[in-house]
Amino acid sequence: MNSYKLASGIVMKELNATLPIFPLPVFLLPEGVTKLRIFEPRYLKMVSTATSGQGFVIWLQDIKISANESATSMPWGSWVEIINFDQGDDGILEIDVKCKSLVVIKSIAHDENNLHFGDVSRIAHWSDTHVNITNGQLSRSLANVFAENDSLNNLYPKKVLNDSHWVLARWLEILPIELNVKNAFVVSYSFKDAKAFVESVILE
Amino acid sequence: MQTNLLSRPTSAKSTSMSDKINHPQLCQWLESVATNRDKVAFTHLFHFFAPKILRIARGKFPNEAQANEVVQDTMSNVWRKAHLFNQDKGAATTWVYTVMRNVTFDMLRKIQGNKEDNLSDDIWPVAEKMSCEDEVFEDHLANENLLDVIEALPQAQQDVVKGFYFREMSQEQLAVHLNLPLGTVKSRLRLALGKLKVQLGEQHD
Repeated sequence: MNSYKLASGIVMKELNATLPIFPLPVFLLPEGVTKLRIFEPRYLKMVSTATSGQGFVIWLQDIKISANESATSMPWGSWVEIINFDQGDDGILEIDVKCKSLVVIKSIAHDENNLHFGDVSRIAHWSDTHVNITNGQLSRSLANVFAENDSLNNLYPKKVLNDSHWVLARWLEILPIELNVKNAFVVSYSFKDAKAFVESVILE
Repeated sequence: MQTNLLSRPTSAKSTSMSDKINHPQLCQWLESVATNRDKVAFTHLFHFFAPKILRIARGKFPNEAQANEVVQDTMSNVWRKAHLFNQDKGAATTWVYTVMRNVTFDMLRKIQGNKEDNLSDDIWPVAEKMSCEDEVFEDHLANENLLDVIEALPQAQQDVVKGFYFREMSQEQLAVHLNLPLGTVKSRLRLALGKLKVQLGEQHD
């Protein structure tokens, strides 16, 4: 695992685990929350496993990312826990998941239901450290986004708008940029790069 | 296990809802419509689905007429396409709601089409590829607020077909949010992405 050379300053942590892997086009950083609809039997099974266990991993999947994978990318995922359940109007199970930390996926196996399991290790990322530094304009602008979008707002009962890492991570999740670029905010770019990027889009 | 999950207090209403749905009966009605053009069976289906579709559509579209149009178009598609329903592939409810989503999608595309006529200086590649065509991802993402998506790009419109959800803002939403013209927001994004690439290049040198 030492072979990963990461400009974003990623450090491997010691914790290792085997967790269910759910490939999805979803970019989620620590503390990020998203709603998922679960209807395939194998993923219903995964959800039941995940509730009694340690959660599961959303593996960011994208055609472009896969194409570049051999070159610069590493298989990483968002380790999530399920924080809420509901049933949609169409009877499909909906779950809200919250990212606990990022993990690197070291190996993947399939079980008889074609559910993926991976050996993972936690990796550190700037988005899982808290800083009490307010970035005034980005925070205020993000607060407005929440105020304008009920569905997004409902996912975050507690908003840590005085934490510039939290604010920046949420901006990266919701900005309209391609997933392979978002992917690079984990594998290539530093906090400074990410901050400069978001500021040049949001601020004048 | 799933039953345990759903019997949590937070989804008590959902549990009672699913208890009430008689899935075999719905399948049988669809079969009758498909094979015998059975109007009585269709009436039953209409009574079951129309209020539910209307309730969902009211939450997604700003006016009553559009919501009613969703109900009408969905149910007429159910009538015409009932033979395409295959109960081995999923529940009748799932199938009908998929039909509803496609109807919704078509309506959004019409709305969006009218809008794009006005964007003459639009040189940004609008036809952004849907990032993931893999069927693994189909429909696992959800969000209630379809109105957000009305403003969205083709990518997001595809997302609508796959499930209603908020994953990210569209460029149009961002423009509204920043109170800037769409063109300005697009150039900002382009410039910011350009700068990033330069930075990455420097790091690799």
